[in-house]
Amino acid sequence: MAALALEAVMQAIADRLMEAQVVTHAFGYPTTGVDDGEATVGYPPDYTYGLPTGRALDAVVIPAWIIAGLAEEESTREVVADLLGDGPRSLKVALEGDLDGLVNALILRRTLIERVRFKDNLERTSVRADCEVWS
Amino acid sequence: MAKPIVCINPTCTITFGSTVVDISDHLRMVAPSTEVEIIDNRTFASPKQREFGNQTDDITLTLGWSPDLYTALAPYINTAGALVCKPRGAVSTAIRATVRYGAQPWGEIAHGTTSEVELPLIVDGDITYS
Repeated sequence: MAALALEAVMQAIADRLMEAQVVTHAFGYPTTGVDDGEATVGYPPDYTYGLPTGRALDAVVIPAWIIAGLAEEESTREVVADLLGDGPRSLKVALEGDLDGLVNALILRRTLIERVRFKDNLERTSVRADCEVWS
Repeated sequence: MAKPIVCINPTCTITFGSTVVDISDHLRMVAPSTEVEIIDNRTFASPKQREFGNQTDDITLTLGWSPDLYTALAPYINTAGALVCKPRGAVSTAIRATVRYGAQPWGEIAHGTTSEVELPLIVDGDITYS
């Protein structure tokens, strides 16, 4: 039993998104260098300690943003639908599980569809996956 | 000892003869319970003596109702079936028991909500994990 290995877990989420070909590239840390079709993993807003002995069941919600494309492009709609669906690009299929034994469980209970403005002043649609993770 | 598990995509099936009724898509919660009576047999010579008596095992399933669920359950009322519940769907080990139910489950029906029902199961024998 151990505490959550936050650094490794954030990187594992990014790696999983690439392995499952959900995105072409994913950063395991928050960055503004992300582009269309890529992802960036953010820090959890808080950290909940679990059982008092052995640090089992520490819990966090780690957000991952997937940049689907330009907000007003029709093709972006298809990407968003694929991410939310249950096909090969499904976020839920790609992420849920135990990250090859790194965590007790990762469950994706909800995603948020957001508009973000990039440095080029154009708005993108991003899909934010809130990954609930237990150690 | 390994740490407590977090359930992921739990599954539940009940097999009646050669027919498998898979209720995983309807599953909200599986609640197994075991009660053991404590018998008070104190005497003057043994003033603190107590023993365990009869054991009663039950499982209550909480399910989202649908006409398909009704149809699937209808032929097997009061029929013994083999329940297999995997707390983590991708793992082969499961909670197992021989169970029966006495009636169709019914729940509240309201606009814009899922009708959630509880199906109490009598357990014949023990609840095991294997």
